[in-house]
Amino acid sequence: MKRFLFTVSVILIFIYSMGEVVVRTFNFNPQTAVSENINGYYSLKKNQTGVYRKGGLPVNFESNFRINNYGYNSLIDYEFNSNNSNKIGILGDSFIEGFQVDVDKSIGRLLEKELESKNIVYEFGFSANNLLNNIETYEKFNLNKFQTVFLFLDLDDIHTDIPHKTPFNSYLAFKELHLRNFYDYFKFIKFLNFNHEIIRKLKSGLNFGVKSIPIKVTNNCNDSNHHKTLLNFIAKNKNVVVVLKNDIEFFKSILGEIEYIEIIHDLKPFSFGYDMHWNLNGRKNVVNSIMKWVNQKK
Amino acid sequence: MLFNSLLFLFFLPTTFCLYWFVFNKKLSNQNLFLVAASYFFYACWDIRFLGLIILSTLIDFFVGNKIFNSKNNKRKIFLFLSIFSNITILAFFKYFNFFIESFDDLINMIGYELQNKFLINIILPVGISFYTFQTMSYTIDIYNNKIKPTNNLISFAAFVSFFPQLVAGPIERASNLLPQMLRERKFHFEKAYEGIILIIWGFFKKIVIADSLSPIVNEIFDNYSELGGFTLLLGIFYFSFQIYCDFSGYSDIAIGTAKIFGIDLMTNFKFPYFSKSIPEFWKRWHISLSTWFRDYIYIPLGGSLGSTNKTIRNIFIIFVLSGFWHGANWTFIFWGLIHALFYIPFYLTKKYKIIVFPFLQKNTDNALFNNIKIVFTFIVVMTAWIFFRSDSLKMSFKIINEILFNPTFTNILNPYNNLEGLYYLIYVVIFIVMDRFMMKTDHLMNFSYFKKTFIISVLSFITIFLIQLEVNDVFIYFQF
Repeated sequence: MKRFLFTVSVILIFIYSMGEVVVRTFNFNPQTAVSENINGYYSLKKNQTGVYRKGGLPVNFESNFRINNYGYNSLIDYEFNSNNSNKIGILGDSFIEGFQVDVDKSIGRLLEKELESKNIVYEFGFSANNLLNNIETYEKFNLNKFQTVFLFLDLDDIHTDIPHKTPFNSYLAFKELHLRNFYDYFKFIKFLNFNHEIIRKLKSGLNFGVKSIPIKVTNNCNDSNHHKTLLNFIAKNKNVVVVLKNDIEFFKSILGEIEYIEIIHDLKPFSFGYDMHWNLNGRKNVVNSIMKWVNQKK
Repeated sequence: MLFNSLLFLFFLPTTFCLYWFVFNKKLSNQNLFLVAASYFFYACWDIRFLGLIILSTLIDFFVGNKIFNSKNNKRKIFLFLSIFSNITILAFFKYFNFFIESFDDLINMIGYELQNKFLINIILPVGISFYTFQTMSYTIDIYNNKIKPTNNLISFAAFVSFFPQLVAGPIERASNLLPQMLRERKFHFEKAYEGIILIIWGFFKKIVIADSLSPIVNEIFDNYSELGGFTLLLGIFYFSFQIYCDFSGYSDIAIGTAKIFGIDLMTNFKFPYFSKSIPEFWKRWHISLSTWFRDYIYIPLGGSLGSTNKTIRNIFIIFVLSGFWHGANWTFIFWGLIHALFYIPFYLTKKYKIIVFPFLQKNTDNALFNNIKIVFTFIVVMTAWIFFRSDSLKMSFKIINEILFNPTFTNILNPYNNLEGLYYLIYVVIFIVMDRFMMKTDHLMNFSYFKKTFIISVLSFITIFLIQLEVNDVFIYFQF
């Protein structure tokens, strides 16, 4: 038995050492944005840059991110003043936050290049944001002063009674305080955990740890009639244009005569596959669809 | 619980330690622990169907003793009771809707239409085809005086539910596994180390090869109506390796796991794609099932001892049943029929020296000639897989039609990582070389300790590194 346990240990040590060497040599080690506790909830630490990586063999992606002065992944810092009329806003979830492609090729930057006028695009994308989060953001930053605000939606975004907020729980605090340092030494473990969500799977599979559950917060958008919330919001704010990510038929039935933009994915493939977020093709498809609408408006 | 899950990664070492360090003092404790661990393993999948295993265990335990202690007709009645109860469970959960739908189709064919089809939404309990066949073999062997029944219910329950082979085989025989459950087990380094090698090789086949091929195979078969013949051929070529690596991977993990618990399970695969004929293929593919059908169906029907017509009939029966065992669909039956059609010429050759395929049925030591035979056999097997993988016969014939009459290539991407479909040919080529290497070296057993340790360390490292993101497919044979 001793010999057996020794052999198994040798194999494990060998695998781990090789893993460290490969991850460090080929730079597969991912960096994730540092998070912080703002009023008890998870948010991204402002003014930081880094390289986001996912995958490994046989394919992976690598992209630069920059968290700006308001905690959004954007190449530019935001300023809110009286002169907002040349600004365009984009509201959405992780598809807008877009860690998967370089920050200088975000939807906002691509759109700026396509637009003839000197518009600046502000992107308010945050992972798991739903319609109610977006309404909160709209009101918080007075986006009614913006020229246009594109609101990205799918079915999941409107079928909710509460805005999504992730509590900055003890696990997240531990992760930021200790795990980050630990991962600097044990990069292979980070590689495995980041790509295969080992800790998350363990937490759900073995049913221990704290789950990231939406916490109900006080807001005036909280009603059970989801469609009504969306329709009221669009009716009240004329500069909002809905961009549909999915579920077109459903939205057609509830939006009626209200204008919307449907994303046509002409360029393929438009996602990474193992990560379903848009790749550069996907983003170009989004911008092309918006530009088609803009040109029709002229 | 899946072998390729994180839970198993904790379950296996925990069970191993408790088994050898805590419950090793007394055999009864060790067996009781095995039963508990096995039931937990199954319950992680679906606790509702644990009752079926317990029911099947109890029936066959008591019926086995009754058969042994009874005489003449009573023995037959008890055997019938065992077979009837097992087949009823299997038929209800696996074939109920198939028979109702086939009956409905028949009624439609003669011009009537059934208004209220009595279809019910049945969940197929995982592993049911495996453990029912295993328990049936126990009572049949007692009836045939090949084994004696056990009076130890816990050991018998451990034999039925032994977790490594519970859900997807190998379908064990009581004559092999039960005696091992009844005698004291000692830890042997060589056996346990062989187990570790098999586990790692099994994981490599499942995770690196089968799971890598799975998305592209699904993509091709899901869009078969829009694709050209060459692309469909590529899909079926990949599927041939996917199913082999998936199923033989599972078997290797099961056999390897059993070995580290001091138990030997029967070999289920012997490098089948290197077979030189269809009969040889069936001596190497899913051996535990093919020998089950041989021992409990083919031989009782008369085997090859009767007239030629009778033998051909028997061959057809076992292949059709083998297809039907896989699932309630005509596609599986056609899969079995194709194998029967290519099996029979070899039987005729053996009996009457009739040469149906002169080029292929000649015995020779010529390497080139033998390789051609291997390729021909693989093509036949691959053709049969078209039926196995298709949802309907219509789909199968459409695919064959496209391959034969529209051999164009449609570019296709793996939806999980956007890699070109052709890229995975590298995986297949590497796998063939490795499989050949494993065959030649008897799973590395001929190598020294250091060489073995180095090779399996590298293999496990590659496996960990090439786990396909977002692909965590269940084993194909779980559905049977």
